[in-house]
Amino acid sequence: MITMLITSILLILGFVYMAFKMFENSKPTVESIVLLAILVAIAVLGRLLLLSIPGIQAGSFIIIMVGVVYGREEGFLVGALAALVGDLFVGIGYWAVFQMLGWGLMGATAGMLAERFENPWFRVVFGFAWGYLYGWITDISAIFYTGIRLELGPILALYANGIAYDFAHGMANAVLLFVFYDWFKKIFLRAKTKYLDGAEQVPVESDSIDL
Amino acid sequence: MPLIELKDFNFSYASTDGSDKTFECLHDINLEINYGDFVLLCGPSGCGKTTLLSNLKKELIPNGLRSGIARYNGIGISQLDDETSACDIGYLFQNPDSQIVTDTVIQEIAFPLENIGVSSEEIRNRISELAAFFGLNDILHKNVNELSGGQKQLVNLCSLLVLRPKVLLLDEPMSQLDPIASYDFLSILRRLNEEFSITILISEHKSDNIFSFVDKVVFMENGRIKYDKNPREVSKTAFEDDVFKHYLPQVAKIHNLLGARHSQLSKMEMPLSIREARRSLNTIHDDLIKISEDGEKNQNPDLAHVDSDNNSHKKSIFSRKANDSIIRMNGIYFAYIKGHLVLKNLDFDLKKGDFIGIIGGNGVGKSTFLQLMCGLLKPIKGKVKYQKNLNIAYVHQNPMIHFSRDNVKAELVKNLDIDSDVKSKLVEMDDGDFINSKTLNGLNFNNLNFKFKDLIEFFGISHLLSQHPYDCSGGEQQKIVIIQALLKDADVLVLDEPTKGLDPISSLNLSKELNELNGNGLTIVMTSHDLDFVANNCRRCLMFFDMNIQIDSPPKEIFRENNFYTTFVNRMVKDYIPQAVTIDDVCSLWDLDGSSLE
Amino acid sequence: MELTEIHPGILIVYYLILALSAFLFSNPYYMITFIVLMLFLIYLQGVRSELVNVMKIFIPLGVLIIIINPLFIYEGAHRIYLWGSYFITLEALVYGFLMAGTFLIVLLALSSYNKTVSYQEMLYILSKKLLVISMVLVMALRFIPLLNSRAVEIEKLFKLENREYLNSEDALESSSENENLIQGVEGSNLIQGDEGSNLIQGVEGSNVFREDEDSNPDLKNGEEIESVPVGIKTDSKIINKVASSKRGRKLIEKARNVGNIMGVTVSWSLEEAMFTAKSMKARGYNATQRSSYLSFHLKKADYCFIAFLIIVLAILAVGLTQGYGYINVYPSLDFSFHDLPLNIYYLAFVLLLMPLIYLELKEVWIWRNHS
Repeated sequence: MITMLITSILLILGFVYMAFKMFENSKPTVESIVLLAILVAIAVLGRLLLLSIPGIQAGSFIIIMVGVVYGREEGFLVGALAALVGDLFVGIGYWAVFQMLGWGLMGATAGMLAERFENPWFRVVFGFAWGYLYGWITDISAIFYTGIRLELGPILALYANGIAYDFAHGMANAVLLFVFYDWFKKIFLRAKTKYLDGAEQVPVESDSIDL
Repeated sequence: MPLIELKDFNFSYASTDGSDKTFECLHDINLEINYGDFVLLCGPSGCGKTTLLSNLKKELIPNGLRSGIARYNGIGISQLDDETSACDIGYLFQNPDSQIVTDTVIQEIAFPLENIGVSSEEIRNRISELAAFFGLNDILHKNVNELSGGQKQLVNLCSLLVLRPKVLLLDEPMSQLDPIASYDFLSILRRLNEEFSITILISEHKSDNIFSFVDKVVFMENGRIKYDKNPREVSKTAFEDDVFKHYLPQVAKIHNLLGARHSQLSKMEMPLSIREARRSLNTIHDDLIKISEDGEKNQNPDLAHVDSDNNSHKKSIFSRKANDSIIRMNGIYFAYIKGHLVLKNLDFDLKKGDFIGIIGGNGVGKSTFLQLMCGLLKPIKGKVKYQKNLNIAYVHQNPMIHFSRDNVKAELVKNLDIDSDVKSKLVEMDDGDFINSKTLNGLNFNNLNFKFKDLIEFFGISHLLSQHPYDCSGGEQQKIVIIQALLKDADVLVLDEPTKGLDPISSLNLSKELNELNGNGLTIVMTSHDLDFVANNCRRCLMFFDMNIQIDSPPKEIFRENNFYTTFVNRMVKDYIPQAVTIDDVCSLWDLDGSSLE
Repeated sequence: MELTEIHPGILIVYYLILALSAFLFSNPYYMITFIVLMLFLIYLQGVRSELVNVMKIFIPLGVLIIIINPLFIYEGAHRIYLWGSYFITLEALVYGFLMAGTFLIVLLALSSYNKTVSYQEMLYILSKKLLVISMVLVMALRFIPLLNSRAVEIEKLFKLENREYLNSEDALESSSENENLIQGVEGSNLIQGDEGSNLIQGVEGSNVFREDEDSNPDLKNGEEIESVPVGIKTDSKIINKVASSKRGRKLIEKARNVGNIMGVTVSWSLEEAMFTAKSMKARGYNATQRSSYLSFHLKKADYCFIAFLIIVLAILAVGLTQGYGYINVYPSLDFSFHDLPLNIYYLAFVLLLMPLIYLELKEVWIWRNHS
């Protein structure tokens, strides 16, 4: 089990590292770096705001919205980084690795299925499903304590244990995605044109007059 | 050779929707700034100040079409190499919060040095030097959230100074600071200019403190430079200008007014500080004493009634029943943290029709008081009572906080008590139909004899209706929020620092608007650091001190008694007419023709 | 540790070794030693409040681990029959306890780690490999408190909007004080903390909006929710359906409230952050290769630490190959409480845990003599 735990952590870390490295190698503009940072901060704020009720938070909603509007790469980055930053606040642990994977994939899948999000029922199902998927991914970090090898029973027991928590998480996602999708999409689209499109344009300059 | 040189410079923005259309923003700019100059840049919002400044900083040149010459040290600005541009030319923005990128002070100051790849040893050397000069050692390891606005802006400035710049471009750096912090900031700039010969180009609305030591004043309007002179000359010539006379320091205005009658004054050098002004008044000392005595005889001794045209309003408001209280606060105690009281045993009565200005130093509980009054905070002891169905509207000092829609029309209707289908139809109308729509013009207000259409016209926002609220200027955003409140039929309008960052023209408009609304019966409560604004407009003034309301009387009485905490006008003419607090007072007491200031 | 500087990279490696040892050394004597020394270290580092957080995480999951193991795993030589033919195995039971112990050690080591290595140091290490990402993290850490303070401001406005609604309701006529005016808002004796500032300091501090839960009397039924002013137009049928259950309703209220506050915060902050980008450009970000104001060089103390670790780890590795330090649970538990582990390997194990304790103790001693 211990080797499996270490292997899985290393695999995930390698995967996340590759994603980060790809972002760095793409020579991002200052604007896109700031945008990424602020989106991460927003997601973390969404996660921390409602910590008083277990499971309910707006972080997942933000990450899904980022995936939908900015695409799967940005969705993955924001998800993974938000998990990391959130854990820097509340104390980092190895489970951060699984949270990074969970939230990263949440953002990435939202980006892949972006077109279908116009359908409100799809959003509700997607958000609700990710309440459970996220719970299952993060629970992997606990599975390794439940025996000498992977077995279905303990896994199911762990998942059953988190069922109420994940339900609340999924419901919060579903409600937020249902109600606030259009509004946040507008907000993010405005930011997208301001930050990303403007930066790609080369400044129009008239020739040779400057000196 | 001038350090910065603009010759026949034009700039027009590229349109945001991708078409070839452009918006002209700067026309025929000719400007020379020499090494070590301190230059003040003034003009109404949208006149192109920011565009001009950002065209002087390579990294910030906006998308658009440039023509003409723009040189720094003989080299075209866009041809400067990255490192020279980053180091030599520093650029400071308005809002201290949005410029900070890291979470501790030392990291923030180190940030630009890290960017240009300076070794960590050298970084620490440079920071230690700055820390010693500015006395930063106490805050160096603090988190930036623990700093006051003034400290944040100082950190931002230091973060430019570590690069050892030759030029500082400052875009309204003090507009978000309180008067004491702005004064400190200004003193630092002056020191940098005098002791290190750093060239400074600053845009700023409030000229009273700054005119006396700048080398050059540049007034801009509609993308053109209208005046480019030294401050004494510009104070003389721009006084004839309808727009820019409002940008002149109060002392210069009074000097000009007096100069029309006392010809010996107009031959003298234009005074730019209270000290100089007192000196020039002294030359006509005897005349002034005589005029002042005459003036006092002719005046009603009650100072609250100095400006005559407002008399009727005031009478009608003050004559109302004494028990017209709409909010009553009794024995209020408040603290954020146990053991640290902010307000102590405070009593307060808000009467219908009041127009209250709240003044006082920083951290004396003005904003806390406002929030308690609105019910945003609950007192830890004591009671706040409200008239039944009282509708309080609160305008935050940052109007952006109120917006959640993507055009002004939607903002205006969002809080209305009408069907959401009707709302969305309204929002889709074109501007003309929207203004004339039956639904909106059918709204009736308790405290206002206005129809919707009149309201839009009165505030002059009809051209903004289709814009995104964020794309409006600060003054315009404020108007939109006030209209939102009025449409909800507010009884009490509470404004937190409405004058913060407003240019003189917007400030003048605001004062007109608030007076009109108050005349209609709306109760207004506002905090402000702008003593002139309070003196000119408010009928009742609360001065906070030591956890309580220290003084509660008409503003003019307060400022007449005060020696330090009073208006510039009062400080200037105190020896002759201590009761004069505003320029209007001076005009009526000295029998001057103030019509040119309207 | 104020009086000793150790390279953060070495500390990170050290804590990784500790976490790994938690899994490798399953001998109960070793584990108990481990837990005791970790608790002592945390005590010395003055993070007792952290201990509460550790327990909050540990107790539910630890109990679950202890229960799940015997419940699902029936391997092992020693069967314990509970009733009828139903049995659990001693091995699974013991394994569950050992795993729970491991989990506890990992948690303790992590909370000590979070105290020892500051996030600036972690980011410094990260920036060696991922320059841009570490910048993003620094900025995000700076933005979160800023966004939070904005959210707190916005929440206040929402409260006011809701209050207006309250005022316009006829239901409040009952409060008839003097004259016809007055509706009292009585001050409670609670001191309200400065909510804005303490969100971020840790788990307990972060329930900023906790008072919404009960003190928002103005949002009681579905219709009223519809009139939350900044709320976005919705198809109320669906919402009402979900809102028919009490729990669901509360959830929706919460979600709506948070959504509204988030929306305004987000759009405002995205707008403001354009200036952040400009300010970064103006200060030469992206101009050349970045350096760092922090610099860590390996010093004498670091070399000593490394040498010490190598020696201790070598001894422990020999011990592990010889069968010292761990026990075999499956297929048959072999452990006797009489086999005291007093030997060089155990000594090496204790030494492995000691360096930070030694440094902390030395510090206590220095401070005591100093005053």
